[in-house]
Formats: sequence, C-alpha cells, structure tokens
Amino acid sequence: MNSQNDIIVFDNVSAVYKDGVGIFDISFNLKEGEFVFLMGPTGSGKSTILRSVYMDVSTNQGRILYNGKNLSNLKKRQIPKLRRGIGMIFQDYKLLEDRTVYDNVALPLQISGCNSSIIRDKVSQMLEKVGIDKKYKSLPSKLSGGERQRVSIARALVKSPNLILADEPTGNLDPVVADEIIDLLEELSNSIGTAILMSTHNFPLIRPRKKRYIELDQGKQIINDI
Amino acid sequence: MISKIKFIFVESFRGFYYAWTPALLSCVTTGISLFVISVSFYSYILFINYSDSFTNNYELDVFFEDSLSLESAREVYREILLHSTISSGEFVDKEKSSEKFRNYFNSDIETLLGENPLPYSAQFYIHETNRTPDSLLVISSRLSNIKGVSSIQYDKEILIRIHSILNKAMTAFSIIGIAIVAISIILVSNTTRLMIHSKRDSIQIFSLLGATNLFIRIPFLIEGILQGLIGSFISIISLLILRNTLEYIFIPLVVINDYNFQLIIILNLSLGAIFGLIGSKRAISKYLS
Repeated sequence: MNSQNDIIVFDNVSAVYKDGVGIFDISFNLKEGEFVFLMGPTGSGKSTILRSVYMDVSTNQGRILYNGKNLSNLKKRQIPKLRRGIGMIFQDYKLLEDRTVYDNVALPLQISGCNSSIIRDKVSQMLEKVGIDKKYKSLPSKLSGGERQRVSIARALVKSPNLILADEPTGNLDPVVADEIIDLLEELSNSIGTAILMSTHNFPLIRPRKKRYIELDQGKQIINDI
Repeated sequence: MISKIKFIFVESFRGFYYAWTPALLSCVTTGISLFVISVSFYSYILFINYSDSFTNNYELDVFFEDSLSLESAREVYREILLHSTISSGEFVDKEKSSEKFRNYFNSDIETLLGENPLPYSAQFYIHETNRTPDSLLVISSRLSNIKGVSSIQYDKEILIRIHSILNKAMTAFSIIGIAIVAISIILVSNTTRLMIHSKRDSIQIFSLLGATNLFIRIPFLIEGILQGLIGSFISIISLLILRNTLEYIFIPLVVINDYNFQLIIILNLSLGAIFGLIGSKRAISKYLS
C-alpha cells in the first residue's frame, strides 16, 4: 500500500470521540500532486480524517503516514512543524478579521520566520494567482464569500506545501462560486504539483470532474474509487 | 530570526490598536487596583511611622537610693547604660529634678520645703527590639535588683493598651493588604482573560498555521506587561494628584516625602508588570494546550 510517492497513507485508522462517533478502519493513500475528494453527509467523518492528518485529533488505532513518517510517533512539540508544512483551507475561512488580505496571506511565512522581502514577493505572486491582488489592502469583512475563500487558498499555498487539506471549502458558497473555487484549486494543484485532499458533501459538484473520491458514511469508508 | 522577533513585537502592540477597548479596560483595571494598593501601602507606612513615634518614647525612670552620693549614683547610671536592652539614657541630678518640678508644678521645691528632697534619678530609653510591655517588665525587674536602685517607674498600663492597639491595627493592615493584592490579581487576571477570550479565534488560527505555543504566548505576555505598565502610570498620575491635593489641604498634618513616593512609584511599576504578566499568562494558558 505504501509507495514512494505517497504523500499520505491511512492504514486501518480509527479515531473515536467520547460520544462514540468518529472514523473506523479507514485506509487510503494520496499520491504527490493528486486531487482526491472525501465525500459524505454531515457527520460522516470527513473533517475527522483531515483533522487527524494535522493532528488536531488523536487516533485510537492504525497508522497515518505523512511523507513516509508515522504520525503516531510524532511528539507534541513537533506538531507545529508538521502544520507549517501543510496548507489548510476551511469552510469558515478562518481569516484574521483584524488584518488585511495581505497580512492574512503573509501570516504563515511570518510564522516560519521568512524575511520581509521574500514575504513581499511570495504574497504578491500568490494574490495574483488567486486573482485577489487588487484587494490586498482590504479587510476580510469587506470581501464576498468567494473572495474570502480565495484569500484562504492563497494563504494555504503561499508556503508551497506538498499537501493541502481543504475542509468543505465550498460549503458557504453559491454553486457558481463553488465551481470557480474548485477550478482554482485544480489549476493550482496542476501548476504547483500540490496534492489536495478536499472534503465535501456536495456530490453533484464533484461528479463531473472525474477525480478519485472516497465516500464515507457514519465514519466508515464505503467507496474508494473514481 | 530577526523578522520573527520583529513580528512578535508588532503583534504585542497590535492589541492596543485593533482591540483598544478591552486593552484600555485592562489598563484602567490595573491602574485602579494599583492605586488602591498604593494608598493602602502608604497608609501602612504612615501607620508604621506614627507607631514608631509612640514606641520610640518607651522609657524607664530609675530612682536611686537616697543614701547614694552623686558619684555613686552616676556609677550605677553608667552600669545600667551598659545593658544591651538600653539604647541611651539621661542622668537627672538634684538641680535637674528641681527644674522639672518647677516646670510641672510652677513652684520651687526648695522654697516650699526649705530643702531639695528629690533623689538622683535617670531616664533610660529602650532598645528598638525590646519595646514591648513584656520586655519592659523583665528589664525593670532586672534593673530593680541592681544595688543602689530604689524604684523603677514607667507607664505600664498605657503602654500595654497602646501596644495592643498597634498589634490589632497591624493584623488588620496585613489582612486588608493581602486581600487587596489577591483581589487585584484576580480582577486584572479576569479582565485580561476577557481580552484574550476575544482573541481565541486568532489563537486557534495561529496554532493551525503551525505557530508554536511560545510564538503565540510571547506577544500576549509582552502585551500584558505593557498594559500593566500603562496601568501603573495611570495609578502614579492619580497618586500625584492625590498627594498634591492632600498636601495642599492638610499641610503640615500630611507630608508625603519624596523617598516614600519614589518607593510607591517603584512598587507601582513592579506590581503593574507582575500583574500584567500573571494575568496574561493565566488567561492564555486556557487556550493553549
């Protein structure tokens, strides 16, 4: 199951919350540059899978390999470094409301300790790529849902991660804008070569895209196929 | 590294700009707490000064036997002065006794009685560490055993009463002082917690983006210290106004000397920084696992 170009490998992973819900015996892999959907209704365990990758949830069974490293062996103090290597996109954007678009996108680079000239160059390039460069001075509250998600995507990609975890990034968007966002993610994934694992409950949105999807229901894996 | 440090410092000041209302609330709360503590502390200093002025006057009057000559009485006086419990003394010969009598009763004892029957005596001041009624009792009993000493007098009842009042007041001051400091820490800490609670989303986002706990914590701690220091400036300015007002109205009853006021400024700055640090440390710990 574990091949050299796998970014992520889930090997019989279970993560159960106190109330008994969670994910059970999940197994799949994600290759470099691959775009895979996690599909299922609310409460099916999509977010738990993503959260277990960035270690916001601890697993009870099985192993998760990220770049060949078993995450169970990771110490608590190593979690920030793991997270700095992964891009994350959320349904509620998770933008800092008191900072401009530019500052939000620059944040991961500032956390990594990049110097200001590198930050300036990378942020400008990324804002241009996601088509939000003209609003770099705006506060998130002045942007539409689609624009906010573009900022969130730029923030996830600015540090050139080899993996992006997108948790329902289109959940708050109307169908047209949702389509645009997925187009953008696909385009960026193809051009940069970043693997993307995206959760959604909207099957009609992903059906025409002919991508691999993993279907979940009540924490169990039903389908892992194209 | 330099850009990281720069970023942390910019973050520390960000709260003052973007969330100035809770920041101001936190500063004012710290200021009020420090003001109350300072006033209590100064009252304590005043109280200590006043109680010292009472206890400094603890004295024993020793009367020598009538049969002693002036030389022998002076010898006994010098012997008593050597005692470790005695800090200083004053020998009172017949002329001085007569003068004191004249001052008290406004008449001359020699004119009244035809002679001066007053004995040689001495006043002894007690060493600082022995200025308690119990010690005075022990000292007077020891001194009365010395050959040549006829009797020893001191204001026993008054001293016991004063000492009891001083002890009770000191206990009350200690309890009130501890309570004020504890309440201040809780008050400042809760205000800071409120402020940090409003930033819990930011803390979560920083954490998700891979910031270490230290990286998240340091700006909050610096911000807490800065707020504490601003609070202490508010308190110092209020105290200056209070000092000038009191001195203007009550001089010479109330004079706050510069040394004591410098002490209060140092107390304010140190406590302000400590309150801010403790408050933000307590508050941030709630949101960082």
